[in-house]
Amino acid sequence: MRAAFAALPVPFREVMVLRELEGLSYKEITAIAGIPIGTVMSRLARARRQLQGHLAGHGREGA
Amino acid sequence: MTMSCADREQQIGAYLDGELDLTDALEIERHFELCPSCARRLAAQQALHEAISDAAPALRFRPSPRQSRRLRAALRDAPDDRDVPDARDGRRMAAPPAGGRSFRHAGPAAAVRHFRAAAAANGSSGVGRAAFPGGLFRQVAWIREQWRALPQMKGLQAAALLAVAVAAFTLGRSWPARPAASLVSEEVVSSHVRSLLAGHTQEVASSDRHTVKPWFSGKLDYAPTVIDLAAAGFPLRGGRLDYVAHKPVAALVYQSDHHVINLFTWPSSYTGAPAAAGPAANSWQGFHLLHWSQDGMTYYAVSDLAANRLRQFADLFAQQLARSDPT
Repeated sequence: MRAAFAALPVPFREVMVLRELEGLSYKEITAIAGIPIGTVMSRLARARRQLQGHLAGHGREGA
Repeated sequence: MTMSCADREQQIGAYLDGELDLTDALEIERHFELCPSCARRLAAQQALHEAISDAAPALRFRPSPRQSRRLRAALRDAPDDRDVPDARDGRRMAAPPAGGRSFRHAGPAAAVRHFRAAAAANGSSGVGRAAFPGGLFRQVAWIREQWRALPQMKGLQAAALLAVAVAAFTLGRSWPARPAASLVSEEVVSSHVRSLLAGHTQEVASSDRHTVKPWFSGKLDYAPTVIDLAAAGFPLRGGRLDYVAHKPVAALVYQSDHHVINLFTWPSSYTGAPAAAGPAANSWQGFHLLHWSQDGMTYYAVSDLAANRLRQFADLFAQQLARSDPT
């Protein structure tokens, strides 16, 4: 999982960390990352897709 | 449908994050029932969320005890920054939250401001390179990449600040994963909404508790206590079976003016006894929830009533329950 996070491009990792690890709302993320809410949603969606792809490709190691 | 399934991926994420408004949430819930491929994507996203939650302790930055000591010392030595100009634009800073280390209520932006101001006062000598060993910086680099809120800071200084900020969060908060109680709350609200949508609030419609209570016998392996609160403006409408926390449970239906109150009740052993004995308030997508535990039973009251009115209802119910004999 750590490797999967590390493989995310920075803008995607940023929103994932704020959402999943810090439990912030989309509104709080827009304030911190300085991006519109639509961008928060699309980055989260793409980050999640990439994480799923990464984890599927690497079995369950490190998760 | 106005939206293709390919466009729903963002919505599925927002749904799981509790960020959809009620209309969209209901719409997508209906869609999940019709569309196996979206239901699969929902399950996959849920699984990912759980995997991240499981791995969260390993993903978070944790300072060593030695680093923690240094960070605490740096915080203790930081001057009161009430009058320190903001490093970014020279404006006066608002007063930082009291205590310096707890940003639980003020939020991360306040923490960032606080530490930014502390750095402006200290320069690089206080919380700069001298305060930290090189190993920390390698760890911090990873975190810093994720956090671009401080573009104005010079590299090392920003990294040191972020280390302090992140460590302060780590020390000051326990980072609770979403507790089981909140999942139950979500389920209860969903059940409430579904009952209203389908116009199916009660299977046994009666304002007589001696009709409603026996209706449950044979359907559940416990007997819910039914109390009539009509005199207080909460007439009993009836009851129905519902399904919460993987168990069939009793839902009692009350009314207040035009608002429906669903009162779910089950033995506390189903979901574990709540930590607090008194009613805990919560709200979810505009609905208010109160839940409490009494005589080994857990109660969840949910409604779109005003929060104080719902509390009145819950208090009355709890009082009468305490007085009632188990008939």
